[in-house]
Amino acid sequence: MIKAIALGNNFLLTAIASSFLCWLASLHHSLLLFVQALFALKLIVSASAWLLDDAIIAILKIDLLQFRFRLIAATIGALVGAGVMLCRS
Amino acid sequence: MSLLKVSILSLSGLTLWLAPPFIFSRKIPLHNFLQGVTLASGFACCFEARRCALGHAKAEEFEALKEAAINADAVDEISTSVYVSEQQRRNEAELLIASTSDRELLERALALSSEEDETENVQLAENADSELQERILQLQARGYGKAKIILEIWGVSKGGSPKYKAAEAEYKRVLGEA
Repeated sequence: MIKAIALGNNFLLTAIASSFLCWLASLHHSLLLFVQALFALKLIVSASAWLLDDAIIAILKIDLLQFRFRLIAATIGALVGAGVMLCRS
Repeated sequence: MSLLKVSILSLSGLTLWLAPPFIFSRKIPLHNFLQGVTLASGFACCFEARRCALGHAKAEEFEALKEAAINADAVDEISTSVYVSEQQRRNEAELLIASTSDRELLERALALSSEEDETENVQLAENADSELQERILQLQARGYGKAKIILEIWGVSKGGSPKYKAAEAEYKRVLGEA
């Protein structure tokens, strides 16, 4: 139960961070570019992590399934966070 | 208590994340600023909730490990006591068997000693008979008759007395053996 809450909070942290970045992007045009660059960087890092998963799990010493779950959760969290801020009034 | 705190913090974070973007307008500067503040607060709430949850999970794991260690200790102690009592029983049984064998040895030794006594008695009797027989033969060689020999050896004069009869029977037995 407590571990599930911790995992849920991980997801919430990613989503809130993504929403915060979107809020920052809405403040100024240069911040928008900065946030776009950050999301692009995040995309590149995620893609690299998918490709280099064997090497990364050896470094992090975690299970492959757990690593993929974290990657997917982080991607979905970022998308949900950005989606919330895009759908706001 | 910790679970309640974690739950409340998580719900607060979720609310602070989802509610303001749909309540406040982004066109009003104050609302926009408040959205940023609530997002930061929501992030802080979720961060604290995650920290507490991980700490609680670690404490639970530690408690589980401690309980497992206590159970393992108890099982080890029980098995040790069972082993010790089994060894004690085995030692007692071995002592009992050893004492039984000692008893058997003593009985055997006693039986052997009584057999030796009997043989000694038989030997003594045989020696006495041979001495008596030799004495009788010496007296016969001197020309003594039966009545005189009985009188000489057993001190009983001739007659119908039971003592004389017993002496006569002994005289005949000793000579009969020869």
